[in-house]
Amino acid sequence: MKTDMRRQLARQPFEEKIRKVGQLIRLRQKVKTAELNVSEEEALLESLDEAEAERVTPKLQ
Amino acid sequence: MSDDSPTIPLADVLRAANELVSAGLIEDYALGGALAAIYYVEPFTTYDADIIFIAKDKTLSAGIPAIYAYLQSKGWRVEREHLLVNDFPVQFLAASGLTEEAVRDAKRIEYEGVPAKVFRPEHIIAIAASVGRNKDLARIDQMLEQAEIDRTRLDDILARYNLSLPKP
Repeated sequence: MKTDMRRQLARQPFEEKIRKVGQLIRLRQKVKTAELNVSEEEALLESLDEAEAERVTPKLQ
Repeated sequence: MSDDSPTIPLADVLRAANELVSAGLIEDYALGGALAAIYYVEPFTTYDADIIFIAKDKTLSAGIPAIYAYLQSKGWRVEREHLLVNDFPVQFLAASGLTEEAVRDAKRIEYEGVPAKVFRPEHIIAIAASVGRNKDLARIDQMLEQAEIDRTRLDDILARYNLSLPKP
């Protein structure tokens, strides 16, 4: 972001800036939740793959 | 926290800090930390509010148990080092030395009709220089770039506390 745009944001009323910080926090929380869902899904797929591999690969006695 | 509730209940925080002064539990206070910096620069993400207070109780505890008890009686919750109001974490930190000067010299503001005080930019920079973590150095750059700084005042504070700004 350009310096003059940052300065313009800096000159906004404090109440407005605090409201924006609130929006940033909510956005971060949403991204984090989405990331968690993706990693949970990946873990589930991985465990299914492992189970499948175990099923098709004969175990060494 | 519901979607329509304010994520940062800063007016509630400041109102409570004013009540602590009225109740005689603290002498004075000011908003410090990231939220104080945001008063002067573009908004950025932060997850708590720092209230820096001058203790009435000059013992080692700085009256913190009484502050916690008062705020808990008003419905605030305690979670580790934070007090929570509407799920938003607030830290009450006792001032000393540079931070005490920052509280005494803080700028008077009104936030949503609530009178309050916020650290001046020169003190925010000096405190960041005294702490010196990477995020503090980034805050100094940001303040110097975006806030209106009284260089004479800043140089005076830095000299009195034997501090220096990082080299650009």
